[in-house]
Amino acid sequence: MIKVFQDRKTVDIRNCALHAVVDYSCGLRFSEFSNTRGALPGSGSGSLFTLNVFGRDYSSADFVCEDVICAKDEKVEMATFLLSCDALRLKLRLHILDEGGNSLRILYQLYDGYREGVPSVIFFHIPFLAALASGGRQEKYYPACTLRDKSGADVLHRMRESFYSADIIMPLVVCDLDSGSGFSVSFPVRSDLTDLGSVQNINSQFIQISCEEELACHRVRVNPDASFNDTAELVITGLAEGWPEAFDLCRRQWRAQYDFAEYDREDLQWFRGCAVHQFTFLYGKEGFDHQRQQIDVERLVREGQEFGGFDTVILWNQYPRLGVDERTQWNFYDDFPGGRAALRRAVDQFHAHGARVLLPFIPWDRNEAESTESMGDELARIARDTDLDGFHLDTMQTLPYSMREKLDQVRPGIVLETQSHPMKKRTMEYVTASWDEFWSADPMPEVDVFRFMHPRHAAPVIGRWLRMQDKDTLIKRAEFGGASIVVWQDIFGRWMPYNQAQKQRIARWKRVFLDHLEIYMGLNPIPLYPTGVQPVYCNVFQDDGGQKQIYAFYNDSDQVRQVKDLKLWRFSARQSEIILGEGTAQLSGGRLNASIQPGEGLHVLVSAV
Amino acid sequence: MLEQEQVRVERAQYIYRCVHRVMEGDCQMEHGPVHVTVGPLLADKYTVTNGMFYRFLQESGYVPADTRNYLKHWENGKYREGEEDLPVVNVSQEDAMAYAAFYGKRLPTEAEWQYLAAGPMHYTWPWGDEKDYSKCNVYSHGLEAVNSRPEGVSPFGLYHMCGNVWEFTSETHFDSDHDHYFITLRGSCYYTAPDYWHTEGGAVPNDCHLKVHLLGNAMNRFSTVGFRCVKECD
Repeated sequence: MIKVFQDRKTVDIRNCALHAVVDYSCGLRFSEFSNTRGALPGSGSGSLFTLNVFGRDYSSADFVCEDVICAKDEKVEMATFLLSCDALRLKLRLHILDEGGNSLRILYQLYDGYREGVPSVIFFHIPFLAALASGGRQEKYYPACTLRDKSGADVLHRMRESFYSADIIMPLVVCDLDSGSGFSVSFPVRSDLTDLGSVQNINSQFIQISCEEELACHRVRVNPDASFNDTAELVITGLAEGWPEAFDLCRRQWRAQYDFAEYDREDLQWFRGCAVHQFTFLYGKEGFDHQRQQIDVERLVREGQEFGGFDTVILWNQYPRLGVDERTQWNFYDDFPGGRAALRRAVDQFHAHGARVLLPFIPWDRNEAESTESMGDELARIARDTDLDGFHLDTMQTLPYSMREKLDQVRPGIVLETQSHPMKKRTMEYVTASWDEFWSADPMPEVDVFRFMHPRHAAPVIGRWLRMQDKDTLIKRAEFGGASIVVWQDIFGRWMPYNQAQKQRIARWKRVFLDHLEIYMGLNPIPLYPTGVQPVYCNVFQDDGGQKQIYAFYNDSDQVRQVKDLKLWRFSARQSEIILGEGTAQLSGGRLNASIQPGEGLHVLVSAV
Repeated sequence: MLEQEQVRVERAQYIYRCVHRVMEGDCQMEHGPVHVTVGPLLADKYTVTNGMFYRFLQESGYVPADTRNYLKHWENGKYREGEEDLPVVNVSQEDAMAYAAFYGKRLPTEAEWQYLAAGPMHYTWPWGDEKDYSKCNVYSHGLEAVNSRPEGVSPFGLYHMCGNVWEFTSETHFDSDHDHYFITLRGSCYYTAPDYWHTEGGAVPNDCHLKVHLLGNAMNRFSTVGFRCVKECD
């Protein structure tokens, strides 16, 4: 409900969760912004914008509020404030939209009349954002750095941004630790490019905020022209259950934009039940018998048994050999010892041992004579000739859908897996697997956000250059993230093996993972569930039937840590059981108590019955 | 048809160091700097041509055990008309060694090859230290006769030590106990693959090599790799 009080020059806005009072008597500010769902009152006041133009700071008080318009239709209520500053030839339209539910949308539209005849440099700042985070709220999660570990690194590994935006963007969340009361601020990014000059909407800059100082001092260059286009957009939601609620909401809103029917395909389900993947560089003897000139299936299978069994193998016969002469990846399949028939025999042998086989498709190896059509035909021919189970798409983040269709015509069940997560909408819908590949030596307790936003997408963990101790943390990352793992020991000619203890640990994880697959692969896991104990981290996995949850703890300290009276995530449990790791775990009054060994994880299964 | 000529290279010592474009996997072998001795040698002035290799086949009766991709650019057992003086390609290092052995020669070591290309003054390119693509066959669309571009010869008068075809050396590497069989190529070739992730082509300095993993004879014969020989002498 929106009410205008012209005598006081205020607008009162109230919905299911939020109460805001906009004071336009002198500039534009919230005189109140509170969360009525929460146990604590809200967050005080804050100016809605300041600008820096021609090297000088201007507050909203330098603008005149020319008009306030309220409007309403069957679904949305809106208050619009029209401000102008003649001296700067600038205008601002600010809209506050109540679209129902627990959120308010605040939309800024800046108009530049080019006082000097050309666009001038303008910086934009929203003081209100910092005001939201004040009021003693202890828990703060920033869009670009959700949670820091003891070294200051972000624990939630974001979708990688390059010149274009990822589709998955974390919100700013500020809330009370105990009550969970607070706010979530999302910044919808509709521009595909992150290049600041190319678009007028600057939300791609707000999502770079990574700490309190940046929240307080952000200063974003804007690009208005003489039209009221979107400059910035905030969607503020009132929270009652803290970060888990904010993440769940973010995921629901994100998913609503997609059609994941491809993930329902029965023929592709097999890949989700794979725990240990293997990458074989065929030029080394790990996977190739140079004396007999053939793939050494038996050796790979024996090796796999030490890891609990390889569920898939990627037979890699391409990079870095490509390019010495004109031969393409298709020729490499022909020129492989024994040709395609030899690859087919190897695939048959792996199948007899219960392992599936992926072969590479190299997107960048494309000569001038090739087209998408011809490459799709070649891809299908490889599938037909070898009876493979999937393609590893190397650095490709997308694949023309026509290629997917051509593979489906060969036979069902061919899985597509990319080296890094697909970033954009359509590809996320039909490339159903990708590596969670990371490059840092110490990847704990980092969490792959994509794995939690899109758990139906199989995302095995891999860190190709990790040495001994780093491989320990790689395995811990797989366990903590509830993910499968890629074993890659021969990295294009550099031999970097796992030791016996690591192999055994992977085998142990495989058993636990597969025994509880439906919980780990459930649709609604929560990353970084607040434990109230630093530095103990927790991911929560739950089956889709709502009968069981797993609390995967990780203690990032060098001392035993106790988690006390942990409130379960929307769940009533009667039983608890440790399924991975050493420690203790008990339920008491429906809350979970656990002790976790230093530098180790502990997975606790809780069930309703 | 061109006849092979040989150049005498006196015994010499120099500090050998090899570098290369570093891509994933690196290159598990000695790259120096090490003090080495080369020569005395008789070094082939030209890379071996189609014509020379044809004569070798006539004289030796050589037939490789695995003929996949072997001389695949030839027709009916012989090079095409007009290609007699182009470098022979689509042979493996093993084929090249057989050729050399038949004539009492061998392939040069990496250190020898680099000395033949760079000379005692460690030239960056065969002709000197200034880059000049007009002196070599790189970034082009095909092979040239092995005696073309005399302005690009090395300090010992050897032709096409940069460009035209990559060249085999005598060394084959088996790293540690986890056998990766690989060789290193020298001198670069006319061809450059289009993508960043492809192996390097084009103009490559004298002190650079290219690591190539071996994987069966069909894979190990290239349309861009040839060879020249050396002969030990007193």
